[in-house]
Amino acid sequence: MSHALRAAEFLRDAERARWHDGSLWSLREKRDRAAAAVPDWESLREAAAALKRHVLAELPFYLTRFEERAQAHGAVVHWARDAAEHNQIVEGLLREAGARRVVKSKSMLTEECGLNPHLEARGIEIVDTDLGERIVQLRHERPSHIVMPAIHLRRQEIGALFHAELGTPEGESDPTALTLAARHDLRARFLGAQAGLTGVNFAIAETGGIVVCTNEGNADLGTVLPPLHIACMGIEKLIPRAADLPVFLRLLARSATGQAQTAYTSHFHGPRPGGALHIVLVDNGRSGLRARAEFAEALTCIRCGACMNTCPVFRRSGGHSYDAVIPGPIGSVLEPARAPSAHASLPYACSLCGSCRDVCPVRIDLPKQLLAWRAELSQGAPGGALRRAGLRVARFAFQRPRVYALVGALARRVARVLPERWLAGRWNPWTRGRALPPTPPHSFRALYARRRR
Amino acid sequence: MTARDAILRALGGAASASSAPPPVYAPTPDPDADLFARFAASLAAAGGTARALDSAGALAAALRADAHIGAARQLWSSLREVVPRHPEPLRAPHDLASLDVALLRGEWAVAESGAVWWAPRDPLERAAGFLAERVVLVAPRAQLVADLHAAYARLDVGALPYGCFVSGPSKTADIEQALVIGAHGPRALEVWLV
Repeated sequence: MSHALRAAEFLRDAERARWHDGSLWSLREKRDRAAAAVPDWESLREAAAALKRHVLAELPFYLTRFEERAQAHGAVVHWARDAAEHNQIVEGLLREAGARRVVKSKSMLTEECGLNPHLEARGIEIVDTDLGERIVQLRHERPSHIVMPAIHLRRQEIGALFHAELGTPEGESDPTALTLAARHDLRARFLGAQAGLTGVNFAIAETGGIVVCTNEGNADLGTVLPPLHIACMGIEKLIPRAADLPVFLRLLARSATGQAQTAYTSHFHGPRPGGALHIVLVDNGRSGLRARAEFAEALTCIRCGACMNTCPVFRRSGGHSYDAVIPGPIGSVLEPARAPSAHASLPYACSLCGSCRDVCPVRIDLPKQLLAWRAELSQGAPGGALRRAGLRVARFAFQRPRVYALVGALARRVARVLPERWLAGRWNPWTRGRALPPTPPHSFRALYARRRR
Repeated sequence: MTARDAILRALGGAASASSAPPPVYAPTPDPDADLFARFAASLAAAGGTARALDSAGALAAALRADAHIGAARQLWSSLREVVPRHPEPLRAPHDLASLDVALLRGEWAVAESGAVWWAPRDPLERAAGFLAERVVLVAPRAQLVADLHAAYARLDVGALPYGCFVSGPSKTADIEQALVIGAHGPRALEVWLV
């Protein structure tokens, strides 16, 4: 099913769609206010982009430097070529430690690798502790947004879910009451966990440390109670030095939610006394993407979600319409690289308005990449027989000025007399969701010629 | 071939040095700002409260006068001035699950974002900072700096296994973007700059 068809499903609930649109736009406005309050915002973006591009170019050096320094702090570093290898490594570490109850803070990488179903199928309980991720985990669905995983849901739906799963009173939909119920349930799971999994926002090559940003403090609770900490990261998460962190930290939370900084910016250098820290470095297609000059830039993404909040298509179609681990503009670039045929419609979920490029804290030229994907993906399957036939006719006419003028003159006459319901009938995909413009009485060429005279 | 070798090869092969130095960002400092006012406003926006205290005496008085500290049944204290009240002996971080208040010592405070660098010395102290209902971070006012660039230039992030910039209490807005304080950790954060 294409993005457009799934978006149509989302839009059937007009009230939800309106709310979703407004809700994300308010995040965009918060981001704008936060960015405007930083005088050197644009130079920060430039610096962040330059640093990330530098690291990408020198990735083998920074990876081995990071590994060496992390090991010096007592962390164990693992390498995984793909999702399966990643899942096996994590499963092996948990088995070795005898851990059957695991708490996890937000990690889009483990989502990408399908870690939860892998572990659950093998009898290991894994609990997402970020509130939004917990909500979608209980609903057996994937996050619809990388920063706000449950932004597609209304409070009444979450109330009904918690009534069924956590025993909150029927009809309770107050966000504070629901959050407290989740807090109570998750606190017990934190205290009972035998291992804590986290993602990684930044890995510092110079110091061998990893940095995790949360507002809830769930990564911290999940790593201070159980003795085993497993951190999973894509190989693109590196930055050169600790002194580079402020460049990214000043951009990240402001771009994501309009906050100056997340409530907790946690730095881990080696295991805590008596504990263990394992860091899993995952490729899973990243080295392949890096080798493709036109798409490599997508690997500099710091996962703030700003491109989703501003995207007119994302706001009006919902994250699930992308049917992808990472939705929105950046997902539409990353996902076709993973599975081109499954995600072939995503580069078209875009009006090329360029708003995502304008808000991206690392200045990824997303519209350019989406256009490049369109060019590549349409080589094999150019979007249906009707479209192909139409383009053939257009090419014929465009190459012959006289034919073009004749067709135009005919179309103007015919369109004026034919009833609208014929022209905008079911056969015409262009008029789905669009009204036909009024037919002009004269062609542009006629108007131009008259003006010249 | 190991996974490590395969990944490094796919990236063009291992390299023992970077062919170019990483770019350096030169921040433009905000001059003449009232750092404390800025810090207090940033922290308030993050859901915390800031307080300026003039002297060690003022700190001692504030600690004595604080109603939450006085009423706490269980209390962690990293401060000399206050005697801890937690279960003894402490064997695991889990023993701190019912903490009412944690008094912690912060290092660098950042005016731009209302954050305080906190590097607990052991896992118990680290757990106290997240299990307590209420956290009071006491930091030296002389170590209040304008922005994160200034803070990172002065602190050694890797000196201890764990260090954290704390800015506000634990919070979430995952249900309809409605802000709720106290998602998992502390429901209140106060920063006292002495």
